Amino acid sequence: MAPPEKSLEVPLPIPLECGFTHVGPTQRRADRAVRNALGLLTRHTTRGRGWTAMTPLSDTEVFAIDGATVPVRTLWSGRPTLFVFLRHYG
Amino acid sequence: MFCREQAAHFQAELEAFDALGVRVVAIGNGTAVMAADFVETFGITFPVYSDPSRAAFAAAGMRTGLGLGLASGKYARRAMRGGLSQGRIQGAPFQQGGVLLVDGDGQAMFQHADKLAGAHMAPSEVLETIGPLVEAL
Repeated sequence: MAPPEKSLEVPLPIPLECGFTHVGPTQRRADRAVRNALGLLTRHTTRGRGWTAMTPLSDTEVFAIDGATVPVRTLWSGRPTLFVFLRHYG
Repeated sequence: MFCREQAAHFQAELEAFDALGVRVVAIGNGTAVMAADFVETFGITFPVYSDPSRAAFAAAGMRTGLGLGLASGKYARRAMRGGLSQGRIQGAPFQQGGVLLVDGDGQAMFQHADKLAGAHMAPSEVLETIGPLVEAL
């Protein structure tokens, strides 16, 4: 498995808005360990193209029960928010 | 039935989260219509959103897979003892759940991704874990 060519510069706690940047190998290993520990932000592709950035949570959109589209970043406005991810509705 | 159990448990502990100053938001992976039906059927009072693309699930590090293991029977018996049964699956059957706590600026503070179906953290465990983190803000 090839190591990622780029890595995230991620101070703790991990900012969900962060983007890619070139960093040194030590920082890269630390970043990878943090990402792996939290299961966040990157995932290896199956197409052999190396590592790829996932859409940050803040940029994803969900639907309210009335069908309105809601950016996830609007759900944590100024208050700690616990997201409970449900398996499905069955 | 595990999603029903998870939602019911968080519904029962909603006041404790509110007292801690934490907003609880659920995200499922079916359609908005399915979410609306879920909210009405089970009397959920916290906000429930739908993410059919499961992009938010992926971004939050939630797992996918069959979700079965040696403990699955135990989890199923626990849910059934609570009066729950498996209904028709509405959403992605192999998506697993979990919790993610972010602060008011969207910084991830705590994450737990379920490895098995039914292996979700109890709200009391979540409160115990995140309490010191939130109080330190």
